[in-house]
Parts: sequence; structure tokens; C-alpha cells
Amino acid sequence: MTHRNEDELLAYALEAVESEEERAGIARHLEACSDCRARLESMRAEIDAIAGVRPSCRSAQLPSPIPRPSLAAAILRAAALIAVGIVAGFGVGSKVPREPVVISPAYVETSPPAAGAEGSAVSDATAIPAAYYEQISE
Amino acid sequence: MQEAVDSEWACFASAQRGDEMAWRVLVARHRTRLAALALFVTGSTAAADEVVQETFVRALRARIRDTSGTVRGFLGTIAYRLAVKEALRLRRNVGIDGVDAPEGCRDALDLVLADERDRLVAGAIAALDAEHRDVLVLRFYGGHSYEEIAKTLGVPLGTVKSRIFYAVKSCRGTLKEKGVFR
Repeated sequence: MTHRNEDELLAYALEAVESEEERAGIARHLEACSDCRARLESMRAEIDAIAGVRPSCRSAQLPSPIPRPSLAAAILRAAALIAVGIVAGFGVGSKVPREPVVISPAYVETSPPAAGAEGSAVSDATAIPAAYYEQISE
Repeated sequence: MQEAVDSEWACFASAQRGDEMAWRVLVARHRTRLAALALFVTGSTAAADEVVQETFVRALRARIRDTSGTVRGFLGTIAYRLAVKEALRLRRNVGIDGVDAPEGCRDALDLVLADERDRLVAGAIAALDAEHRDVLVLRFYGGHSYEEIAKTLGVPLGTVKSRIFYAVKSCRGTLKEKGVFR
């Protein structure tokens, strides 16, 4: 087994190996070779040192936030909400198979309050028993 | 990962709306790295202070449209552009072409780096030519991905990877010579 040279390990540590084939080859070797793993680790520590210079921050006055005009704030809030919606959508979508869920106002109004603490969750689509789905969408 | 990015942007948005606490968190989290970035690019502590300050001022005023990147990368881009502009201005005043670090850079670094090892590391970074230094600085202190660096600098991705490789290789060589690394 030929060990990997310094340059190969450095490129690997920096995630800057040019071809995927080469990267996979180095990864395979590292799995099998504890010597090269140890060399990679010490190389990473050196990279951390190069990336970790901390100048002492003098107490230069930094600006204080000033409340922005409400329009811009509203846009930001909307953007944040959309972002959260998208993320939530992804989260649900990846776990639960999509089913047609249509919550009609009639359902919400006429359903009897669920027992106990679950009562407040009526409007939450995930809390609706699967049996209702077809009924609702019809 | 994405959740962490989103919560950073949420914190950033709060700061923009005037939330003092969110603002402090943001500043505390990013100012040291930004200061290092500005210091490496400008070679001047005074200029670096100004760049960091101006970066936060601009970030506060910025209208954020794209939150797919990190807050760190966003601040890093502002700081880098300001630092390059400042470096060019400083060089023009003394009539030296290019944006390589000036002679006084090491002295400036010594002033703000209490740690001897940090000084030697900073000296090795400052000794790089501007092309390699900037890629290293954007990656390690500006929080950029290689793709983002390619975009910021307008060079191909392969070039960015090759430059970071040679930048770090050169720093390691220097630091081995000085006995900092084994």
C-alpha cells in the first residue's frame, strides 16, 4: 500500500481535490491507513491555525441598530415567513406521503371538540385522522 | 445546517429592526474574523477598524434579497470589497501598484496580535501575493465557499481551488521553517 503524499492529503483536507475520482481514491486509502489518517489530522490542525488568527478587537465604536422604516421591515418579515414555510414544507414533504388534504370550513365548524388537550389542534392538518381525508375531499 | 443558516438570518433581520441584543450577538460573532480579513487585505490596523465599522453600518442598511448563503459570507463579501477599495486607496497614496501588502504590514499585525504564534501565522499569510492571499482570506476569514469565492473574484472554480492549495502550502512551508509547525 503506497502512502499518500503531502500534496494529496493537503488538497483533500482543503476539499480542493480536482477530480472526484481522485478524491474517492484518497478517501478509500484513508479508511485503510491509520498513518495517513494521523497525518491528515495534524494537517487539519495546522489549517485551523492558519484560519484562526484573532486580532484583539479594539473598542472601536460600532453602529447601533436603528429601527428601519416599516415597509422594509414588513418585506423582511414576509420573506422570513416564506422561508420558514418553504422549510416546513420540505420537512413535512420528506416524511409524509402527500395526500390530498382539504380542510373545509364545514369540517372545522361541525366537528366535535377533540378530547382533552388535543382540542386546540383541530385546525392542524396533521391532527386530522386519515379517515376524514376522503370524506373531506369529496 | 440550513436551519442554522435560517436562524442566523432571523437574528440578522431582528438586528435590522432595531433589536439591540440580536445586534450584539451578531457583532460578537463576526467582528474578530472580519477584523482579521480587513487587516490582511489592507495591512493597516486603522483601515481594518474602519472597514469593520463600515461593514456593520452597511449590513444594517442592506436590503437582503438572497438568504441562501450564510450571514458570515454576506458580511465577508462586504468587508472584502471595502478592504480592497481601502487597500487600493492606501497604495495609490504612496504610489505603489497592486494590492500586495505594504512594508508596514508586519508591524501593524504585531500591534494587534498578542499571541506569538498568531503573529507568525499572520506574517506567513501577509507574505503571500495578493491573488493567493485573497482566496485564503475569503475562505478562512470571510466564510466563503469556493463557489462564492469564484463569483466574488470572477475567476474559475478550478483556479480558486488551485490558489487555496498553494496559499496554504506556502504558509505551511514558511511556518515549518520558523518552527511553528513540525
